[in-house]
Amino acid sequence: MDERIKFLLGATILIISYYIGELLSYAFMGFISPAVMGMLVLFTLLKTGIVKAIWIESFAIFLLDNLMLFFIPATVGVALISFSSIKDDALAIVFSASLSSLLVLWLVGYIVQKFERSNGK
Amino acid sequence: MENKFILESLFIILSVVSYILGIYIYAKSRFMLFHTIIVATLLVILALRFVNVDIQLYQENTKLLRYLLNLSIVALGYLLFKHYDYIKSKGVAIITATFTGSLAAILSVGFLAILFGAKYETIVTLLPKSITTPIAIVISEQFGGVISLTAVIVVIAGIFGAIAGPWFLKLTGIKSRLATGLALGSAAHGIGTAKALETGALEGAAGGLAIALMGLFTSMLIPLIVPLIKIVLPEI
Repeated sequence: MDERIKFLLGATILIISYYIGELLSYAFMGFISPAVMGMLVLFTLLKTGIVKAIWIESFAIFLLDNLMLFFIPATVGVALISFSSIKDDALAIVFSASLSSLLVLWLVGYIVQKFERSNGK
Repeated sequence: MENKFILESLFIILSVVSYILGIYIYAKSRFMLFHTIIVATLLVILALRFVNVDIQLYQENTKLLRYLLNLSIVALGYLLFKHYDYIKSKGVAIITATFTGSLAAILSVGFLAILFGAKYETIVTLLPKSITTPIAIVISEQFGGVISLTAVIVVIAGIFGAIAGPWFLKLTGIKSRLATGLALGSAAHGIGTAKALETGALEGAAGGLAIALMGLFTSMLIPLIVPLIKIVLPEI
């Protein structure tokens, strides 16, 4: 298959998965976000063999390689906080959020590694 | 209509150029604080400030990038599929780790915020900090948090986790590829997963899985924990 056709086919399948995910997300009252639902939809399509991995590979890899780019509209939102409004709690926010993040990093990694070791690798 | 198209194109070009410069600067310096996402974000903010354009106008006119972000999360389903057999063989470890991680994320941030004397509104704003923005916003709103602040905190936690994460995992002796990806996705959702992808596809798949599981567990656990916080903070 032509690379360009594959790219377009991949885009189409991902877009369809996303919209099915959005529908399911509404059905579950937004409990799981549309994109995460779409991820599970794509996984199911691949697992059941309805969609072949080679159809979507090039587009999926293109997106994943440039993931950081797509976060920029969200990350520039940092400039929107008005420091006067959080002044009183700024210290609490910074310390609790960063210490808690480090705890989660370590704990999740530690548990997985503990399991891996006890299973003889 | 035409103006809007030009505006959107200019904003996308600005984002792409900042992103490419971000990659370049990080590749040259290899310095943690010059990470692509930080450099690119700062360049966009500086450029917008320089021409006096509102950040909100930029955000409203970069919907294409947000849309592609959603598609990228969908694309993680592909990595999940590719590494399914491996992930399935570690199912118990993965679920135990993300459930504990989710509980620890909520309890620790809540406990620390109370310790630092934060008010109720700030505490509930902070609780969903480790999960992906759309879910975090819904939860924050549900319990009376400040959603715009939640969105920003989620982003900051993401950047912080992505940047400090690999260093901190090394420091604490966590080397397994699955553990690394799962830890980055759990603590820093999508931004952490983007970082995990730099290390490898398996790490990326684990990160994607962590986003889904953390979102699920956290939305189940927060409604149980908020009443406890209300007991500890009797003045509200």
